[in-house]
Amino acid sequence: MKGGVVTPAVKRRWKGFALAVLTLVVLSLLLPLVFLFGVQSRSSYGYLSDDQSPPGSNVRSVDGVDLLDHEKPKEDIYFDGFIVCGSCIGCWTRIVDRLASSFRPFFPEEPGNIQNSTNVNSTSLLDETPIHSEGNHPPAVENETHPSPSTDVAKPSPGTSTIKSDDETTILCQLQFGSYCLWSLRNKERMKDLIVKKIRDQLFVVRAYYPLIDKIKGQGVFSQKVKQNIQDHEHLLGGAMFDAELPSNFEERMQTMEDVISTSKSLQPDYNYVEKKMRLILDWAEEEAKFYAKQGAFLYQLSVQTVPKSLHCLSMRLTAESFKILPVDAENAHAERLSDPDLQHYVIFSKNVLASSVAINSTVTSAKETKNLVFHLLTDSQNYFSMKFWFSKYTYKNAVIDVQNIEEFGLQYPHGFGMEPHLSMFEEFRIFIRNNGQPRIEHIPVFGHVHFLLPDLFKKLRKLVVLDDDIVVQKDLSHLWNLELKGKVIGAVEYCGMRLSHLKGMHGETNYNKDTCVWMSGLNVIDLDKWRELNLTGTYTQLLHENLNLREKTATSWRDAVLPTAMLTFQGLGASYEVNTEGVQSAAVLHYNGNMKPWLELGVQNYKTYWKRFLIRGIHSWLIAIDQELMMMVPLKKKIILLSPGRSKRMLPLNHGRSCGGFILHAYMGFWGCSGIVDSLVLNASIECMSRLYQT
Amino acid sequence: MPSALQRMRAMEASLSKAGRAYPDCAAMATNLRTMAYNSEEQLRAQSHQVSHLVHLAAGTISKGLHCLSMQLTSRYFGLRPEQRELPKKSRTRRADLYHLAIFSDNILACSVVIKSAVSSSADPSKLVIHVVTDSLNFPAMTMWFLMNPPRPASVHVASTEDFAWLPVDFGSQLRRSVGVNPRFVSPLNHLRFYLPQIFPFLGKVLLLDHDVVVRKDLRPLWRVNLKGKVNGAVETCGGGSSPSLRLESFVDLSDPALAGAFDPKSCPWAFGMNIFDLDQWRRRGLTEVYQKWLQLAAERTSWKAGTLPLGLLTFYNHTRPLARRWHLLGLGRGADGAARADVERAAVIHYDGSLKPWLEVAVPRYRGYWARFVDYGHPLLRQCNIHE
Repeated sequence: MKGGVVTPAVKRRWKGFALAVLTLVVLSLLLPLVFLFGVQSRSSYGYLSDDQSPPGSNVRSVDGVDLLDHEKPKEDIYFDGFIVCGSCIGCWTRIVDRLASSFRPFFPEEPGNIQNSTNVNSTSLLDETPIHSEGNHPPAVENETHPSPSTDVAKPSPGTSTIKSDDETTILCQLQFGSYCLWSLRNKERMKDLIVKKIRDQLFVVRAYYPLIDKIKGQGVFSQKVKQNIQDHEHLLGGAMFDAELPSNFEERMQTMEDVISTSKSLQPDYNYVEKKMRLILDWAEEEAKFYAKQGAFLYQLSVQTVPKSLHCLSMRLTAESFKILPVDAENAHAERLSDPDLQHYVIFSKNVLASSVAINSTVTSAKETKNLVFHLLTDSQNYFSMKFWFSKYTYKNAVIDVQNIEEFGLQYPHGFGMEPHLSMFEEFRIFIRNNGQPRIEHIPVFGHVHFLLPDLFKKLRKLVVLDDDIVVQKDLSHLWNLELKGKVIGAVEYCGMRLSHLKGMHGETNYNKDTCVWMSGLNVIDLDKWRELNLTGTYTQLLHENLNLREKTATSWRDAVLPTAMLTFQGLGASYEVNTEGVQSAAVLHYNGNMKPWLELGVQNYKTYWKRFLIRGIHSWLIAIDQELMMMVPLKKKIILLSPGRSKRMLPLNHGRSCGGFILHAYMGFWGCSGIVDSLVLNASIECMSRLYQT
Repeated sequence: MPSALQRMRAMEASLSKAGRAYPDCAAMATNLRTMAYNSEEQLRAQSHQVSHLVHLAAGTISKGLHCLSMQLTSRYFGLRPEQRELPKKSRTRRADLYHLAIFSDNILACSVVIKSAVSSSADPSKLVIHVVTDSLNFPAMTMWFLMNPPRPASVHVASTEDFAWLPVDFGSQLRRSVGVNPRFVSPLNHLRFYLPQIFPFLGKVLLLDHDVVVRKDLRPLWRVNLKGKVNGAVETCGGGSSPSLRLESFVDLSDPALAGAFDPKSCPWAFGMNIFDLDQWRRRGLTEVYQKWLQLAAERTSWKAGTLPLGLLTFYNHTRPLARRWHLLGLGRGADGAARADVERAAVIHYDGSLKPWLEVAVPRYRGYWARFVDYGHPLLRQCNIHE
């Protein structure tokens, strides 16, 4: 594409569009400039007062971190060449406010080095050319200045000069920073800062004037005054983000500044220079924003990929407890039920005691009948003890819960895919698709290697429902057991936003129907008899090895191979999963695919509520109160004030459910959450107290 | 595809055309100002979110470390009770040996401090290392040293649970005084002010932070004449990376309760490597002094009672400066935190700041000094995907 702005159509009507064109021109100009000069100038924001720290630097220096590479600031930058507007007098007095709304914030673009180093659990599969290999020129701008019929970006409505559609801005951002952008958007705050903005605007203008005033001979005194005023203004602003934070004398100061500005204007300096200075300052601000975006994205990734300390603490405690307090061995009592094909068997693969507790709790709470429910919780050796302890000690209504260490099964499969060295329970892939030019990012959860052991793990069973641990069940699931699979193996939600052809880069030469939709795990009904009959596990193993032969056998390639292989295994044999998706969907399961899992602090607030509800539902709902007060009030006293009868009674009316497991779990979190010292007396008493509550 | 240069030339041409055709400067200025608004808006939103994320990040633990702790914990409880004892327990009370104390909940960090101290000691068999940890990490920590004894030195792990003399409400008292920031609130951090109670049989102990690496024999520190002072530490004012630090930079001395008693310009010192004379400490009752300042911090909302400000107050006039080469700071602050020559010369290097060597954000330039003491081939570390 050529960068020429003046197409014939625009030429004819340039008067009408001049404003919009100019707008685009300025933007197009600035982006290369940012690119060219951006490296130099991150933090020399207020170049007049070098001894003062730039606004916001107090935030950045929390912990003294400079998390990402950036150059040391240089003091002053000069550049020439792009003269846009000629000199004019009284330039600054006319303000066209209607333009203000036509600018949308855009995310700074720069090939990020963040994604590469992070994202352990998701793989970005670019099956088509990435849209921004150049990175400097926003394509949307080109599309607008170069309107062509084939353009696939939504055209801006006439009269506006939208830089980019919101959706695309988000997508671009996502490409660079991942789900941080979603989080960032959702957590943006609205602020009351009209006056702060005005002050900033004054500063902006006066900073542009100052160097010019300084050069005019005979204005030494006035120049000093301007400088003083700038410093006063900076001081006035301080770190203020909101109007309320400003000192009371701001009106007076603002008036003084207004006078200084009008005097400056009357001196008629060289406006080209003023304009350049303005652009320079703007560049600095953008650079600064870019820096924070990078740092934010990095920290966000860090938070997603680490374990919350509270969860770490909970797992550790439960592990220790499981050895100290030997729970009554409930297994024998339920041994028959575990392999009774007439009951409803749910399988959950999980390494997260909190998440699996919510999944089970929500299933049980939503179920009309619980005595025929059997949950098979499959975990790894690291989490086995804590889960075993947890689910054997606490009941979830009448459901039976059996915890097994999947790694022990793995030992029986020497050829064992998935067991060593990369035990994968479920995989979630972050896939970048470009459909008709519209880029999207999808999270597709699929079966991991271990899922293909299911027919061997449950030899006596004929049917299973497999749940992921990042779900919340909202309705009774019993109808799933009457679901007619019509000779198919899996009942799954299919997702036609993505088709097998999108994965073509990963498949190699295997034959398959390109238009088949992909399917997702989360909640799947499985006909084990049919599975065995078709020997799908064998097919999977074979396809997997074919797939692996296409690439280096590394840990990553093992994981990469899962998605296409899992898809193809069921596709290739006509064991279509297009079965009764309605039935599955009506189960009303919320699936938290994506990496903003609800148990992370970062989880999307709106959805997180659903999840939390099952952590705290029913008996649990008053736990919100306990959870917050616990730490504050009585973490270490040798008796439980909070859980004393009076208080409990006060909270008890909210008690609707009877599922104690989820409840105590949350209380444990409260007690153990973050305090280093745990009082076992408090702990035992709380258990006792809660089981008392449970009985009433 | 046209090259970037071509694009820029085309853009330049368009711009000059546009400039000639539309010389309205006011609109131009407005545009620029609007853009400045937007950038600043974004800047503020993002810096705000970043500070939130920094806070969140402090509340997490890496998956590798989580895994390591879990594995060790279950192994520990798999042992018979008599197998759970670390060897040579009697040595922990012998005042004729060299005692090091580390307060930590980070197994990897502890192992590095200990391994480095043992390997740089001229007579490691006389070293006794005391690790104090919380009850949560006690099993894992013990298991690690059962599996990896730092021979010929001996190591002893204590849990905060064992300290019956600790005030019952120690944790909640701290929370009141220090606020909710998990970085400051850890009782382990504040236990350093109870050294005489923790080691009732000892006269001298060397306190090491868990983010240091020992590079030289430390025994001469026990022979340093403290001249009746309690705390031997390196000073942090003047020279080096932070020339302007003074006591007033850490503590708000305008507070009436503090005013007059302290010289605001006096030189602060650093925790990280301190030799303490416990006999002098007991004689002067400094733990009570600490409790007094902690109490004061609880009543004031304006100052944060980190261990350093409290330490500076507690050991005011009881500190003897050590030569700088004993303890080099700044390796966790950034790539220019310390000169390489200084690192080579220093006896103890300290990764103070947020860029801890066990985190992904570690400064690559300094990470090697730390990483060489981690056995990445260890089966547990490999199992937990902890790698260089």
